[in-house]
Amino acid sequence: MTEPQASSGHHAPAGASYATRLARNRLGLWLFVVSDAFVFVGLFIARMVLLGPNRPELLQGLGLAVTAMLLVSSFFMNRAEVEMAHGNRPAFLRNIMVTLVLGTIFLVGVVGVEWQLAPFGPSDGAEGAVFYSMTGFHAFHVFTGLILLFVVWNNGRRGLYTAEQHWGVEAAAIYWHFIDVVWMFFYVGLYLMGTPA
Amino acid sequence: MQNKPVAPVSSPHKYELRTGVWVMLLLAVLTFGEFIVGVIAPPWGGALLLVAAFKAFFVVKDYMHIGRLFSTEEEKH
Repeated sequence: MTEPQASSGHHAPAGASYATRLARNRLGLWLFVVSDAFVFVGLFIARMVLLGPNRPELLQGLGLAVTAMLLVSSFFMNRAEVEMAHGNRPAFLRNIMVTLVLGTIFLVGVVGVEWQLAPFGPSDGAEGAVFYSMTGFHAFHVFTGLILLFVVWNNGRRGLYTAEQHWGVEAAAIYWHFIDVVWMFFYVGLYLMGTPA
Repeated sequence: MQNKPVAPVSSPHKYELRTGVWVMLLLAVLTFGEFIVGVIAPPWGGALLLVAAFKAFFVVKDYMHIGRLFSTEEEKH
């Protein structure tokens, strides 16, 4: 996720300005986000059809705790992006590291704790299928998001971003917030909607 | 120990940081509200989804800056 040099864009016509390529990058990323969102919508619809007015028997406190971790990580990701946009590299590095730590806690909370404590397995009927496919697909996105954040943190440490040119940071932030938005709905669908089965 | 010069925080910078804090507070309050409703009145699933959509709106607008997608001005970044 290094910054493209103004004179060597591979896909932009020669002489395309940084702003032009930035606009194309944004459009491309948002198209990806929307297409990826369709998969999550499909999983949510599967939950509504298969579980109806019931919900899996899960630990409410743990669900709230991991949700809080992800929400707060989004806050720090936003701070990291704002700090980079204003050229404050130390604050950017600090905030993105906090985001990384909180995202890792979320991942461990879901995969390492909730999956182990859930009273059903992936093959235990609709409940298991819905819960593990929804959380599994989301956790995979969190995992790839963490890799992306680490790459961006490392690039930032090496001084590859500036206040004027930091598309990599913006892209990582959009992807991370998207993961957060998806969880807002999954949290309701898995932990809060309906009566425990 | 070398003292690094501290750059003054500009107004747009302050505004963006403050917006981030307000959105975070809003998300915290609404999520806790969802939790309470989900525990006390689970059948209110539709209302909980509306609250989730409300939260998502603010994240998409203020954290993901969807407005930049439609911006015609030559921004930095």
